[in-house]
Amino acid sequence: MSDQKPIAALGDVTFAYPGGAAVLRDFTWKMPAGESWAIIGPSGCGKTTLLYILAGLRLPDSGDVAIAGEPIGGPRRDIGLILQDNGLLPWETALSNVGMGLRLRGAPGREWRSEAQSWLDRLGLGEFSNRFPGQLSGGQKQRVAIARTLAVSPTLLLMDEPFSALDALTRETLQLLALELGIARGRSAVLITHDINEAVMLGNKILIMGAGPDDATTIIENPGAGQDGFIGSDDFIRRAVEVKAGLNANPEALAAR
Amino acid sequence: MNESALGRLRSRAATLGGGIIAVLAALLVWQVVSWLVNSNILPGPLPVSLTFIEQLDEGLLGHAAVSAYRVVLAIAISIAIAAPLGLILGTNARLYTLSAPIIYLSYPIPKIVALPVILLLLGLGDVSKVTMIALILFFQILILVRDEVRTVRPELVLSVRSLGANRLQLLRFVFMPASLPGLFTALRVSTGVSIAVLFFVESFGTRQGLGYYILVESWGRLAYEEMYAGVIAMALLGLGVYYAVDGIERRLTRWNRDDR
Repeated sequence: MSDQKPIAALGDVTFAYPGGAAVLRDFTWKMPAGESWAIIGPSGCGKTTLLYILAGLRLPDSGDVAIAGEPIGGPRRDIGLILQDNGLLPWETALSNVGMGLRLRGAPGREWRSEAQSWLDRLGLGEFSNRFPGQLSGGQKQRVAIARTLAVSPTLLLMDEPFSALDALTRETLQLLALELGIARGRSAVLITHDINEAVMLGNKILIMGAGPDDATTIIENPGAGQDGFIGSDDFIRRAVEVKAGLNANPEALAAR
Repeated sequence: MNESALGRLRSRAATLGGGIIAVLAALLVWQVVSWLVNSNILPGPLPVSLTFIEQLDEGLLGHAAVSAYRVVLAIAISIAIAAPLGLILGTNARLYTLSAPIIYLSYPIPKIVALPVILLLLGLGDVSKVTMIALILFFQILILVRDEVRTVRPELVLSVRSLGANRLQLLRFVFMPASLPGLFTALRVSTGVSIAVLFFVESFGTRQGLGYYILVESWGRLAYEEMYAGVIAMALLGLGVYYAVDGIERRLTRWNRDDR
């Protein structure tokens, strides 16, 4: 995998919101294809901004961003984005929401409908295809959002705290679903989270960000992620403790939490 | 889901029952007052109903059709112009800021005072009548559509953009459907006003329409039963427009009703 082009690469990226201080400064990072990364850090550390930059929804003030070796200039169709707030269109049924990406690409009705239905079936929502998002539970909505993103077969999956608005039980079910769908098992994905367990469960590598743009970042290798029997094992707990220590290493990060 | 369907049926039946009771009560009051007044200026509901049915054949239906045509055309024109404009102003921050003071200042002006100007510019015919009604609806629709579009959560826009939507597709799939509840609210609140203005503009410069029928053909000839028949026709027209708007809204914004 090392000789492959990185699926995502940031070189000396600096970004500030208009009128604000820099959120990222000279940020450099490379991600080989086939890896799932969990990015964890205190609120306001710039992790969501980082994700939006990867998604092409924000352009950096300076520095280079490349996806699959090409500089990024805006949203790309091979990048899938899943947000904490599911982002489903309230006026479209579950089926049309899942088919949205294909519809935007001009797929004929029959094609996107059958594709969307098969994704809903796969995620256990087959019978809810005619429901509107307002008629679904939080967990069901997030499944629909996942199906919508995967239906366009993205080569890079970006997730911004996708499960944090869900209750504990539903969250665990969806975390296991994420493993099933290839997260930490060969799918290229970036997961933003503030949940240490989630990071250890779903990240082949865990990137710990500091509170400010000048704080050091730490990368923790997590080879067990995605393997059977890893969750809850001694290895898992050791890694979680390591991540926690990494988060606490920066007193500013602690203060910001 | 069976339960909620049953509940919906029950609430619909209750609405219908309430409506029947309200109509019966109004008829009763009308009858009692008519007995008390005991004069030909206030005939009871029965003779008026008979006149109404009889008059339908004698031209009332034609007048109603012309009135309906004017008001429906005005609604269609105002939607066709105000809704796209509202979408543009609601999605473009710069145009919003530029236009806000103008709209803010012109909104409270009662548009009916522009009638003499419209009559001078467009003449006494249908064009000026329809324009007057459309002008009143225009501002309601423009403002409600614009403001509804501005409430769209940024996450919706981001997630649809990340799926590859261009500007036009964002309008089609996000902003247009998001604006529908605002559009229909505007139409529902302004139905009454548009019928009132219709009545007013039909009182001159025409020989067709319910306003003409009521004020010139009946009231002017002291034909009281016919006048009341005309009033009923006008009320029915208002109800018809209101329920038509309501029905179309139900069909187009199904997502906005349950569990919300």
